[in-house]
Amino acid sequence: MMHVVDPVPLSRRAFLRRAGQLAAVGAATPLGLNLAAIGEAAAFTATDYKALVCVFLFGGNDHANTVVAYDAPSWQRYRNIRQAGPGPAGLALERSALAATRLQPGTPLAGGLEYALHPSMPGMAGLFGAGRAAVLLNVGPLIRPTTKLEYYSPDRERYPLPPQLMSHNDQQSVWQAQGAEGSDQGWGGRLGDLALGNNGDALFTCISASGNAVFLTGQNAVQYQLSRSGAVPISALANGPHGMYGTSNQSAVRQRVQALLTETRGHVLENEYTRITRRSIDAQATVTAALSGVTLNTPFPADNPLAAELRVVARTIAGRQALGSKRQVFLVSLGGFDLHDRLVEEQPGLLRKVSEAITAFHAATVELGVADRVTTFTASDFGRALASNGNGTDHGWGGHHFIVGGAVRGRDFYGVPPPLSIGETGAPDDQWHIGQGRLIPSTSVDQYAATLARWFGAGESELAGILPNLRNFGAQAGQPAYPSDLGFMR
Amino acid sequence: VCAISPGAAALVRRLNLLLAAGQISTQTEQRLVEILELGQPGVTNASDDTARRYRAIAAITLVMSCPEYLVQK
Repeated sequence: MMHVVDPVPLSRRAFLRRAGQLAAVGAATPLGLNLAAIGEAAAFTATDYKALVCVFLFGGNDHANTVVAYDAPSWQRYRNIRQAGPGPAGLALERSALAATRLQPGTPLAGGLEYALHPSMPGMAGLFGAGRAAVLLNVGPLIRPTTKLEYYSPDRERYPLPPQLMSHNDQQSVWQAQGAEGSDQGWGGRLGDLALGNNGDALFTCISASGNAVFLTGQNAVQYQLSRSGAVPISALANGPHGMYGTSNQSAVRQRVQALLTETRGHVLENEYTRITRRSIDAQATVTAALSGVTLNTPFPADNPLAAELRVVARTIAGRQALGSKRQVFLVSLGGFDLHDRLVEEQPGLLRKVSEAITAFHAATVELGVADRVTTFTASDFGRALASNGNGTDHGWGGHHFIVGGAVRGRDFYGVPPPLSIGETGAPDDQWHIGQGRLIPSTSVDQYAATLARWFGAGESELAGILPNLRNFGAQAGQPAYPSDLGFMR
Repeated sequence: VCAISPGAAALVRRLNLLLAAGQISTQTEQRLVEILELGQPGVTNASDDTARRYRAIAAITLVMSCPEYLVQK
Protein backbone atom coordinates (compact mmCIF):
# COMPACT_ATOMS: atom_id res chain seq x y z
CA MET A 1 0.00 0.00 0.00
CA MET A 2 3.04 2.25 -0.10
CA HIS A 3 1.75 4.32 -3.02
CA VAL A 4 -1.77 4.91 -1.84
CA VAL A 5 -2.29 8.63 -1.55
CA ASP A 6 -3.19 10.01 1.82
CA PRO A 7 -4.69 13.39 0.95
CA VAL A 8 -4.29 14.91 4.38
CA PRO A 9 -0.92 14.12 5.87
CA LEU A 10 0.29 16.10 8.84
CA SER A 11 0.05 19.61 7.50
CA ARG A 12 1.27 22.66 9.33
CA ARG A 13 -2.35 23.57 9.84
CA ALA A 14 -3.21 20.21 11.38
CA PHE A 15 -0.05 20.46 13.40
CA LEU A 16 -0.90 23.87 14.79
CA ARG A 17 -4.43 22.72 15.50
CA ARG A 18 -3.06 19.84 17.53
CA ALA A 19 -0.58 22.07 19.30
CA GLY A 20 -3.47 24.40 20.11
CA GLN A 21 -5.51 21.54 21.49
CA LEU A 22 -2.58 20.57 23.70
CA ALA A 23 -2.44 24.10 25.05
CA ALA A 24 -6.17 24.13 25.66
CA VAL A 25 -6.01 21.13 27.98
CA GLY A 26 -3.33 22.85 30.01
CA ALA A 27 -0.27 20.93 28.84
CA ALA A 28 2.74 23.09 28.04
CA THR A 29 3.38 23.02 24.31
CA PRO A 30 6.87 21.60 23.79
CA LEU A 31 9.20 24.35 22.65
CA GLY A 32 10.50 22.16 19.85
CA LEU A 33 7.04 21.94 18.33
CA ASN A 34 6.69 25.71 18.33
CA LEU A 35 10.08 26.31 16.77
CA ALA A 36 9.34 23.83 14.01
CA ALA A 37 6.04 25.50 13.26
CA ILE A 38 7.59 28.95 13.22
CA GLY A 39 10.39 27.83 10.94
CA GLU A 40 7.94 26.36 8.51
CA ALA A 41 5.81 29.46 8.51
CA ALA A 42 8.76 31.86 8.24
CA ALA A 43 8.58 32.18 4.49
CA PHE A 44 5.01 33.34 4.74
CA THR A 45 5.65 35.98 7.36
CA ALA A 46 8.05 37.71 5.02
CA THR A 47 7.06 41.20 3.96
CA ASP A 48 7.75 40.68 0.29
CA TYR A 49 5.13 39.95 -2.34
CA LYS A 50 4.90 36.88 -4.58
CA ALA A 51 2.27 35.63 -6.99
CA LEU A 52 1.81 32.50 -9.06
CA VAL A 53 -0.31 32.76 -12.19
CA CYS A 54 -1.58 29.54 -13.78
CA VAL A 55 -2.50 29.87 -17.47
CA PHE A 56 -4.67 26.84 -18.22
CA LEU A 57 -5.06 25.87 -21.86
CA PHE A 58 -8.36 24.01 -21.89
CA GLY A 59 -8.82 21.14 -24.32
CA GLY A 60 -5.27 19.73 -24.33
CA ASN A 61 -2.71 21.73 -26.29
CA ASP A 62 -0.85 20.03 -29.15
CA HIS A 63 2.62 20.42 -27.68
CA ALA A 64 4.53 19.05 -30.69
CA ASN A 65 3.44 21.98 -32.86
CA THR A 66 4.01 24.45 -30.00
CA VAL A 67 7.60 23.55 -29.08
CA VAL A 68 8.70 22.09 -32.39
CA ALA A 69 11.65 19.86 -33.26
CA TYR A 70 14.05 22.08 -35.20
CA ASP A 71 17.48 20.50 -35.77
CA ALA A 72 17.46 18.94 -39.25
CA PRO A 73 17.32 15.23 -38.32
CA SER A 74 14.65 15.76 -35.64
CA TRP A 75 12.57 18.02 -37.86
CA GLN A 76 12.70 15.37 -40.62
CA ARG A 77 11.43 12.70 -38.22
CA TYR A 78 8.68 15.05 -37.02
CA ARG A 79 7.73 15.87 -40.60
CA ASN A 80 7.65 12.20 -41.62
CA ILE A 81 5.36 11.37 -38.71
CA ARG A 82 3.02 14.35 -39.20
CA GLN A 83 2.84 14.34 -42.99
CA ALA A 84 -0.85 13.42 -43.16
CA GLY A 85 -3.03 16.51 -43.09
CA PRO A 86 -4.09 19.61 -44.96
CA GLY A 87 -0.91 21.72 -44.73
CA PRO A 88 1.90 21.62 -47.32
CA ALA A 89 3.78 19.26 -44.97
CA GLY A 90 0.62 17.68 -43.56
CA LEU A 91 0.25 18.76 -39.93
CA ALA A 92 3.97 19.53 -39.77
CA LEU A 93 5.25 23.10 -39.81
CA GLU A 94 7.80 23.94 -42.50
CA ARG A 95 11.30 24.16 -41.10
CA SER A 96 11.93 27.49 -42.85
CA ALA A 97 8.88 28.96 -41.08
CA LEU A 98 10.43 28.13 -37.72
CA ALA A 99 13.74 29.97 -38.14
CA ALA A 100 12.49 33.23 -36.61
CA THR A 101 11.25 31.53 -33.45
CA ARG A 102 14.18 29.15 -33.02
CA LEU A 103 15.15 28.81 -29.35
CA GLN A 104 18.83 29.18 -28.51
CA PRO A 105 19.29 28.09 -24.91
CA GLY A 106 22.18 29.08 -22.67
CA THR A 107 22.92 25.38 -22.23
CA PRO A 108 22.63 23.58 -25.60
CA LEU A 109 20.74 20.29 -25.46
CA ALA A 110 22.72 17.07 -25.80
CA GLY A 111 22.99 15.43 -29.19
CA GLY A 112 22.53 18.68 -31.11
CA LEU A 113 18.78 18.72 -30.39
CA GLU A 114 17.10 22.03 -31.11
CA TYR A 115 13.58 23.36 -30.77
CA ALA A 116 11.68 26.32 -32.19
CA LEU A 117 8.36 27.75 -31.09
CA HIS A 118 5.33 27.84 -33.36
CA PRO A 119 5.79 30.75 -35.82
CA SER A 120 2.83 32.54 -34.20
CA MET A 121 4.72 32.83 -30.88
CA PRO A 122 7.46 35.41 -31.52
CA GLY A 123 6.67 37.14 -28.21
CA MET A 124 7.26 33.99 -26.21
CA ALA A 125 10.42 33.24 -28.21
CA GLY A 126 11.60 36.76 -27.33
CA LEU A 127 10.97 36.16 -23.63
CA PHE A 128 12.94 32.90 -23.90
CA GLY A 129 15.84 34.68 -25.62
CA ALA A 130 15.81 37.41 -22.97
CA GLY A 131 16.09 34.83 -20.21
CA ARG A 132 12.56 35.50 -18.96
CA ALA A 133 10.98 32.22 -20.10
CA ALA A 134 11.91 28.56 -19.76
CA VAL A 135 10.45 25.48 -21.43
CA LEU A 136 9.64 22.34 -19.45
CA LEU A 137 9.63 19.32 -21.75
CA ASN A 138 7.21 16.38 -21.44
CA VAL A 139 5.50 17.11 -18.14
CA GLY A 140 2.24 15.49 -17.08
CA PRO A 141 0.44 13.76 -14.23
CA LEU A 142 2.15 10.77 -12.62
CA ILE A 143 1.63 9.05 -9.29
CA ARG A 144 5.19 7.72 -9.43
CA PRO A 145 7.87 7.44 -12.13
CA THR A 146 6.37 5.17 -14.77
CA THR A 147 7.94 3.24 -17.66
CA LYS A 148 6.11 1.80 -20.65
CA LEU A 149 6.40 -1.71 -19.18
CA GLU A 150 4.93 -0.48 -15.92
CA TYR A 151 2.16 1.32 -17.79
CA TYR A 152 1.11 -1.96 -19.40
CA SER A 153 1.54 -3.98 -16.20
CA PRO A 154 -1.73 -5.32 -14.76
CA ASP A 155 -0.36 -4.64 -11.28
CA ARG A 156 -1.96 -1.24 -10.57
CA GLU A 157 -1.24 -1.59 -6.87
CA ARG A 158 2.46 -1.52 -7.54
CA TYR A 159 2.34 0.74 -10.60
CA PRO A 160 -0.51 3.16 -9.97
CA LEU A 161 -1.55 5.57 -12.72
CA PRO A 162 -3.43 8.86 -12.51
CA PRO A 163 -7.16 8.17 -12.84
CA GLN A 164 -8.93 8.44 -16.21
CA LEU A 165 -5.95 9.30 -18.39
CA MET A 166 -6.84 11.14 -21.60
CA SER A 167 -10.26 12.24 -20.33
CA HIS A 168 -10.62 16.04 -20.48
CA ASN A 169 -12.54 16.74 -17.28
CA ASP A 170 -10.53 14.28 -15.23
CA GLN A 171 -7.11 15.35 -16.47
CA GLN A 172 -7.98 19.01 -15.92
CA SER A 173 -8.75 18.00 -12.35
CA VAL A 174 -5.65 15.81 -12.02
CA TRP A 175 -3.43 18.69 -13.16
CA GLN A 176 -5.09 21.07 -10.73
CA ALA A 177 -5.87 18.77 -7.83
CA GLN A 178 -4.08 15.42 -8.27
CA GLY A 179 -7.43 13.61 -8.42
CA ALA A 180 -10.20 12.84 -10.93
CA GLU A 181 -13.19 15.10 -11.51
CA GLY A 182 -14.93 15.67 -8.18
CA SER A 183 -11.75 16.44 -6.26
CA ASP A 184 -12.45 19.30 -3.90
CA GLN A 185 -9.01 20.80 -3.23
CA GLY A 186 -6.33 21.96 -5.66
CA TRP A 187 -2.67 22.62 -5.06
CA GLY A 188 -3.08 26.33 -5.74
CA GLY A 189 -5.67 26.46 -2.98
CA ARG A 190 -3.53 24.42 -0.61
CA LEU A 191 -0.66 26.83 -1.24
CA GLY A 192 -3.14 29.60 -0.50
CA ASP A 193 -4.00 27.92 2.82
CA LEU A 194 -0.42 28.55 3.94
CA ALA A 195 -0.65 32.22 3.08
CA LEU A 196 -4.09 33.02 4.48
CA GLY A 197 -2.86 34.23 7.85
CA ASN A 198 -0.30 36.60 6.34
CA ASN A 199 -2.62 38.32 3.93
CA GLY A 200 -4.54 41.28 5.32
CA ASP A 201 -7.72 39.95 3.77
CA ALA A 202 -7.63 36.17 3.37
CA LEU A 203 -10.30 36.29 0.68
CA PHE A 204 -7.89 37.84 -1.81
CA THR A 205 -5.38 34.97 -1.65
CA CYS A 206 -6.73 32.69 -4.39
CA ILE A 207 -8.22 34.59 -7.30
CA SER A 208 -9.75 33.23 -10.49
CA ALA A 209 -10.36 35.43 -13.50
CA SER A 210 -11.68 32.38 -15.27
CA GLY A 211 -14.67 31.09 -13.33
CA ASN A 212 -14.74 28.25 -10.85
CA ALA A 213 -11.71 25.93 -10.83
CA VAL A 214 -10.71 23.30 -8.28
CA PHE A 215 -7.08 24.49 -8.56
CA LEU A 216 -7.79 27.43 -6.27
CA THR A 217 -9.80 25.75 -3.53
CA GLY A 218 -7.87 24.81 -0.41
CA GLN A 219 -8.86 23.33 2.91
CA ASN A 220 -9.64 26.82 4.16
CA ALA A 221 -8.82 29.01 1.19
CA VAL A 222 -11.80 29.86 -0.99
CA GLN A 223 -11.38 31.24 -4.46
CA TYR A 224 -12.42 34.76 -5.19
CA GLN A 225 -13.70 35.20 -8.72
CA LEU A 226 -13.08 38.32 -10.76
CA SER A 227 -14.57 39.26 -14.09
CA ARG A 228 -12.36 40.76 -16.76
CA SER A 229 -13.44 44.21 -15.67
CA GLY A 230 -12.91 43.65 -11.97
CA ALA A 231 -15.06 42.61 -9.02
CA VAL A 232 -18.44 41.05 -9.81
CA PRO A 233 -21.30 43.09 -8.36
CA ILE A 234 -24.72 41.77 -7.40
CA SER A 235 -26.53 43.54 -10.19
CA ALA A 236 -29.78 43.76 -8.23
CA LEU A 237 -27.92 45.93 -5.73
CA ALA A 238 -25.87 47.97 -8.17
CA ASN A 239 -26.63 51.57 -8.93
CA GLY A 240 -28.25 52.27 -12.24
CA PRO A 241 -31.54 51.73 -13.98
CA HIS A 242 -31.65 47.95 -13.80
CA GLY A 243 -35.27 48.04 -12.78
CA MET A 244 -35.21 44.42 -11.71
CA TYR A 245 -37.65 45.20 -8.90
CA GLY A 246 -39.21 48.18 -10.59
CA THR A 247 -38.05 51.70 -11.25
CA SER A 248 -39.57 53.62 -8.33
CA ASN A 249 -38.01 54.27 -4.92
CA GLN A 250 -34.76 52.59 -6.01
CA SER A 251 -32.69 53.36 -2.97
CA ALA A 252 -35.38 52.13 -0.56
CA VAL A 253 -35.84 48.98 -2.65
CA ARG A 254 -32.10 48.35 -2.79
CA GLN A 255 -31.78 48.80 0.95
CA ARG A 256 -34.57 46.28 1.63
CA VAL A 257 -33.26 43.71 -0.87
CA GLN A 258 -29.78 44.01 0.58
CA ALA A 259 -31.18 43.45 4.10
CA LEU A 260 -33.00 40.36 2.86
CA LEU A 261 -29.81 38.91 1.35
CA THR A 262 -27.36 39.81 4.09
CA GLU A 263 -29.14 39.81 7.47
CA THR A 264 -28.15 37.45 10.28
CA ARG A 265 -30.42 34.40 10.29
CA GLY A 266 -31.32 31.95 13.03
CA HIS A 267 -31.05 28.92 10.75
CA VAL A 268 -27.42 27.82 10.40
CA LEU A 269 -27.43 27.22 6.64
CA GLU A 270 -29.45 30.34 5.90
CA ASN A 271 -27.02 32.28 8.03
CA GLU A 272 -24.06 30.86 6.08
CA TYR A 273 -25.70 31.94 2.84
CA THR A 274 -26.26 35.50 4.03
CA ARG A 275 -22.76 35.64 5.55
CA ILE A 276 -21.21 34.71 2.17
CA THR A 277 -23.39 37.24 0.37
CA ARG A 278 -22.27 39.88 2.87
CA ARG A 279 -18.62 38.91 2.29
CA SER A 280 -19.11 39.13 -1.45
CA ILE A 281 -20.64 42.61 -1.25
CA ASP A 282 -17.83 43.83 1.02
CA ALA A 283 -15.19 42.25 -1.22
CA GLN A 284 -16.64 43.86 -4.29
CA ALA A 285 -16.39 47.27 -2.62
CA THR A 286 -12.81 46.58 -1.50
CA VAL A 287 -11.64 45.31 -4.89
CA THR A 288 -13.38 48.08 -6.79
CA ALA A 289 -11.72 50.66 -4.55
CA ALA A 290 -8.31 48.97 -4.79
CA LEU A 291 -8.46 48.73 -8.58
CA SER A 292 -9.79 52.24 -9.09
CA GLY A 293 -6.49 53.72 -7.92
CA VAL A 294 -4.41 51.58 -10.26
CA THR A 295 -2.44 52.99 -13.18
CA LEU A 296 -1.40 50.42 -15.75
CA ASN A 297 -0.13 51.72 -19.08
CA THR A 298 1.10 48.49 -20.68
CA PRO A 299 -1.08 47.81 -23.74
CA PHE A 300 -2.84 44.45 -23.83
CA PRO A 301 -3.97 43.00 -27.18
CA ALA A 302 -7.66 43.38 -28.04
CA ASP A 303 -9.91 40.48 -29.05
CA ASN A 304 -7.92 38.20 -26.79
CA PRO A 305 -9.87 36.81 -23.80
CA LEU A 306 -6.71 35.50 -22.16
CA ALA A 307 -5.15 38.96 -22.37
CA ALA A 308 -8.29 40.47 -20.82
CA GLU A 309 -8.06 38.01 -17.91
CA LEU A 310 -4.34 38.63 -17.44
CA ARG A 311 -4.96 42.35 -17.51
CA VAL A 312 -7.34 42.18 -14.55
CA VAL A 313 -4.78 39.99 -12.76
CA ALA A 314 -2.11 42.64 -13.39
CA ARG A 315 -4.45 45.35 -12.08
CA THR A 316 -5.20 43.23 -8.99
CA ILE A 317 -1.47 42.78 -8.39
CA ALA A 318 -1.07 46.53 -8.77
CA GLY A 319 -3.68 46.95 -6.02
CA ARG A 320 -1.99 44.43 -3.72
CA GLN A 321 -1.27 46.93 -0.97
CA ALA A 322 -4.85 48.13 -0.78
CA LEU A 323 -5.95 44.48 -0.71
CA GLY A 324 -3.36 43.63 1.95
CA SER A 325 -1.97 40.74 -0.11
CA LYS A 326 1.51 39.24 0.32
CA ARG A 327 0.97 35.94 -1.48
CA GLN A 328 -1.53 35.34 -4.24
CA VAL A 329 -2.37 32.49 -6.59
CA PHE A 330 -4.26 33.32 -9.79
CA LEU A 331 -5.92 31.26 -12.48
CA VAL A 332 -6.64 32.41 -16.02
CA SER A 333 -7.47 30.30 -19.05
CA LEU A 334 -8.03 30.00 -22.76
CA GLY A 335 -10.17 27.29 -24.36
CA GLY A 336 -10.42 25.68 -27.77
CA PHE A 337 -7.29 23.52 -27.83
CA ASP A 338 -9.07 20.19 -28.40
CA LEU A 339 -8.10 20.12 -32.06
CA HIS A 340 -8.90 16.64 -33.34
CA ASP A 341 -9.80 18.57 -36.48
CA ARG A 342 -8.54 21.77 -38.05
CA LEU A 343 -5.29 21.79 -36.07
CA VAL A 344 -3.43 23.61 -38.83
CA GLU A 345 -6.19 26.21 -39.15
CA GLU A 346 -7.06 26.80 -35.49
CA GLN A 347 -3.95 26.32 -33.38
CA PRO A 348 -1.94 29.28 -34.76
CA GLY A 349 -4.54 31.80 -33.62
CA LEU A 350 -4.76 30.23 -30.16
CA LEU A 351 -0.99 30.15 -29.70
CA ARG A 352 -0.76 33.73 -30.92
CA LYS A 353 -3.24 34.71 -28.19
CA VAL A 354 -1.21 32.83 -25.57
CA SER A 355 2.07 34.37 -26.68
CA GLU A 356 0.74 37.92 -26.99
CA ALA A 357 -1.21 37.77 -23.70
CA ILE A 358 1.69 36.40 -21.67
CA THR A 359 4.15 38.82 -23.30
CA ALA A 360 1.89 41.77 -22.43
CA PHE A 361 1.37 40.45 -18.90
CA HIS A 362 5.10 40.11 -18.34
CA ALA A 363 5.60 43.66 -19.62
CA ALA A 364 2.91 44.80 -17.15
CA THR A 365 4.75 43.18 -14.25
CA VAL A 366 7.90 45.00 -15.38
CA GLU A 367 5.96 48.27 -15.42
CA LEU A 368 4.66 47.55 -11.91
CA GLY A 369 8.15 46.69 -10.67
CA VAL A 370 7.18 43.12 -9.72
CA ALA A 371 8.59 41.11 -12.65
CA ASP A 372 10.70 38.98 -10.31
CA ARG A 373 7.77 38.62 -7.87
CA VAL A 374 5.31 37.14 -10.35
CA THR A 375 5.75 33.76 -11.98
CA THR A 376 3.42 32.66 -14.78
CA PHE A 377 3.21 29.05 -15.88
CA THR A 378 1.14 27.10 -18.37
CA ALA A 379 -0.87 23.91 -17.84
CA SER A 380 -3.27 21.93 -20.00
CA ASP A 381 -5.47 18.83 -19.83
CA PHE A 382 -2.79 16.77 -21.58
CA GLY A 383 -0.39 16.81 -24.53
CA ARG A 384 -1.54 15.18 -27.73
CA ALA A 385 -0.49 12.27 -29.90
CA LEU A 386 2.44 12.85 -32.21
CA ALA A 387 0.73 10.97 -35.03
CA SER A 388 -1.68 12.83 -37.28
CA ASN A 389 -5.26 11.64 -37.50
CA GLY A 390 -5.40 13.26 -40.95
CA ASN A 391 -6.76 16.61 -39.81
CA GLY A 392 -5.55 17.03 -36.24
CA THR A 393 -4.27 15.07 -33.29
CA ASP A 394 -5.89 12.97 -30.58
CA HIS A 395 -5.61 13.04 -26.79
CA GLY A 396 -2.24 12.24 -25.24
CA TRP A 397 -0.58 12.52 -21.85
CA GLY A 398 2.71 14.42 -21.37
CA GLY A 399 3.31 17.78 -23.09
CA HIS A 400 5.59 20.82 -23.09
CA HIS A 401 4.97 23.92 -20.96
CA PHE A 402 6.26 27.43 -20.30
CA ILE A 403 7.37 29.19 -17.13
CA VAL A 404 7.70 32.98 -17.42
CA GLY A 405 8.92 35.70 -15.05
CA GLY A 406 11.89 37.58 -13.72
CA ALA A 407 12.59 34.89 -11.12
CA VAL A 408 12.69 32.14 -13.75
CA ARG A 409 16.05 30.77 -14.87
CA GLY A 410 15.05 31.36 -18.45
CA ARG A 411 16.64 30.72 -21.83
CA ASP A 412 16.90 27.04 -20.95
CA PHE A 413 15.09 23.75 -21.29
CA TYR A 414 14.13 21.64 -18.31
CA GLY A 415 12.96 18.05 -18.24
CA VAL A 416 13.91 15.45 -20.83
CA PRO A 417 13.53 15.88 -24.62
CA PRO A 418 11.22 13.04 -25.71
CA PRO A 419 12.16 10.92 -28.74
CA LEU A 420 10.15 11.63 -31.89
CA SER A 421 8.66 8.23 -32.51
CA ILE A 422 5.36 6.45 -33.02
CA GLY A 423 6.90 3.00 -33.50
CA GLU A 424 5.81 -0.04 -31.49
CA THR A 425 9.11 -1.93 -31.44
CA GLY A 426 11.51 -2.74 -28.63
CA ALA A 427 13.83 0.08 -29.75
CA PRO A 428 14.74 2.58 -27.00
CA ASP A 429 13.02 5.45 -28.84
CA ASP A 430 9.73 3.57 -28.74
CA GLN A 431 9.73 3.22 -24.95
CA TRP A 432 8.55 6.78 -24.25
CA HIS A 433 5.07 6.61 -25.65
CA ILE A 434 1.96 4.49 -25.26
CA GLY A 435 0.93 4.43 -28.92
CA GLN A 436 0.69 7.10 -31.62
CA GLY A 437 3.43 9.02 -29.83
CA ARG A 438 1.35 9.76 -26.71
CA LEU A 439 4.14 10.65 -24.28
CA ILE A 440 4.62 9.04 -20.91
CA PRO A 441 5.61 12.11 -18.86
CA SER A 442 9.27 12.16 -17.87
CA THR A 443 8.47 14.90 -15.34
CA SER A 444 5.42 14.87 -13.10
CA VAL A 445 3.03 17.73 -12.36
CA ASP A 446 4.03 17.28 -8.71
CA GLN A 447 7.69 18.04 -9.50
CA TYR A 448 6.58 21.04 -11.58
CA ALA A 449 4.30 22.30 -8.79
CA ALA A 450 6.89 21.65 -6.05
CA THR A 451 9.46 23.78 -7.87
CA LEU A 452 6.96 26.64 -8.09
CA ALA A 453 5.74 26.15 -4.51
CA ARG A 454 9.25 26.32 -3.04
CA TRP A 455 9.81 29.66 -4.74
CA PHE A 456 6.41 30.80 -3.43
CA GLY A 457 7.64 30.03 0.07
CA ALA A 458 6.33 26.60 1.01
CA GLY A 459 8.57 24.59 3.33
CA GLU A 460 9.59 21.01 2.61
CA SER A 461 7.18 19.50 5.12
CA GLU A 462 4.36 21.68 3.82
CA LEU A 463 4.99 20.43 0.28
CA ALA A 464 4.00 16.92 1.39
CA GLY A 465 0.58 18.22 2.35
CA ILE A 466 0.17 20.23 -0.84
CA LEU A 467 1.46 17.56 -3.23
CA PRO A 468 0.83 14.11 -1.78
CA ASN A 469 2.58 12.26 -4.64
CA LEU A 470 5.79 14.22 -4.27
CA ARG A 471 7.13 11.60 -1.86
CA ASN A 472 7.47 9.19 -4.81
CA PHE A 473 9.90 11.50 -6.66
CA GLY A 474 13.41 12.78 -6.09
CA ALA A 475 16.66 11.43 -4.74
CA GLN A 476 15.15 10.62 -1.36
CA ALA A 477 12.63 8.34 -3.08
CA GLY A 478 15.49 6.67 -4.97
CA GLN A 479 14.45 8.48 -8.17
CA PRO A 480 17.25 10.95 -8.96
CA ALA A 481 16.09 11.14 -12.60
CA TYR A 482 12.87 12.72 -11.29
CA PRO A 483 14.21 15.58 -9.11
CA SER A 484 11.75 17.13 -6.68
CA ASP A 485 13.18 20.54 -7.61
CA LEU A 486 13.54 21.04 -11.35
CA GLY A 487 15.78 24.06 -10.90
CA PHE A 488 13.94 26.51 -13.15
CA MET A 489 13.34 29.05 -10.35
CA ARG A 490 15.96 31.34 -8.86
CA VAL B 1 -49.24 33.49 -12.32
CA CYS B 2 -49.93 36.89 -13.88
CA ALA B 3 -53.59 36.02 -14.14
CA ILE B 4 -54.05 34.88 -10.55
CA SER B 5 -52.44 37.88 -8.94
CA PRO B 6 -55.10 40.24 -7.67
CA GLY B 7 -52.46 41.96 -5.54
CA ALA B 8 -48.84 41.72 -4.53
CA ALA B 9 -49.68 39.90 -1.29
CA ALA B 10 -51.68 37.16 -3.04
CA LEU B 11 -48.97 36.85 -5.69
CA VAL B 12 -46.22 36.35 -3.10
CA ARG B 13 -48.37 33.89 -1.13
CA ARG B 14 -49.02 31.87 -4.29
CA LEU B 15 -45.30 31.80 -5.22
CA ASN B 16 -44.44 30.79 -1.66
CA LEU B 17 -46.66 27.73 -2.17
CA LEU B 18 -45.45 26.93 -5.71
CA LEU B 19 -41.73 27.55 -5.26
CA ALA B 20 -41.02 27.18 -1.56
CA ALA B 21 -43.67 24.73 -0.40
CA GLY B 22 -44.95 27.42 1.96
CA GLN B 23 -41.66 27.60 3.90
CA ILE B 24 -41.26 31.34 3.59
CA SER B 25 -42.37 32.98 6.82
CA THR B 26 -45.27 35.42 6.98
CA GLN B 27 -42.83 38.10 8.09
CA THR B 28 -40.64 37.61 5.01
CA GLU B 29 -43.72 37.50 2.79
CA GLN B 30 -44.68 40.93 4.09
CA ARG B 31 -41.19 42.26 3.33
CA LEU B 32 -41.35 40.96 -0.23
CA VAL B 33 -44.73 42.59 -0.72
CA GLU B 34 -43.32 45.84 0.59
CA ILE B 35 -40.44 45.71 -1.91
CA LEU B 36 -42.84 45.00 -4.78
CA GLU B 37 -45.12 47.88 -3.82
CA LEU B 38 -42.18 50.25 -3.44
CA GLY B 39 -40.56 49.34 -6.75
CA GLN B 40 -43.76 49.04 -8.79
CA PRO B 41 -46.40 51.17 -7.09
CA GLY B 42 -49.92 51.23 -8.46
CA VAL B 43 -49.86 47.81 -10.14
CA THR B 44 -53.18 46.06 -9.61
CA ASN B 45 -55.00 43.19 -11.24
CA ALA B 46 -56.53 45.79 -13.55
CA SER B 47 -53.12 46.88 -14.85
CA ASP B 48 -52.05 45.78 -18.33
CA ASP B 49 -50.30 42.48 -19.01
CA THR B 50 -46.86 44.05 -19.25
CA ALA B 51 -47.07 45.68 -15.83
CA ARG B 52 -48.41 42.52 -14.22
CA ARG B 53 -45.77 40.40 -15.95
CA TYR B 54 -42.97 42.68 -14.64
CA ARG B 55 -44.42 42.42 -11.15
CA ALA B 56 -44.56 38.61 -11.43
CA ILE B 57 -40.91 38.49 -12.65
CA ALA B 58 -39.80 40.68 -9.75
CA ALA B 59 -41.78 38.54 -7.29
CA ILE B 60 -40.30 35.28 -8.60
CA THR B 61 -36.75 36.72 -8.46
CA LEU B 62 -37.32 37.94 -4.90
CA VAL B 63 -38.73 34.62 -3.69
CA MET B 64 -35.85 32.75 -5.29
CA SER B 65 -33.21 34.96 -3.68
CA CYS B 66 -34.63 34.54 -0.17
CA PRO B 67 -32.51 32.43 2.21
CA GLU B 68 -35.74 30.70 3.26
CA TYR B 69 -36.29 29.55 -0.32
CA LEU B 70 -32.63 28.70 -1.02
CA VAL B 71 -32.21 26.40 1.96
CA GLN B 72 -34.54 23.45 1.58
CA LYS B 73 -35.80 22.09 4.88
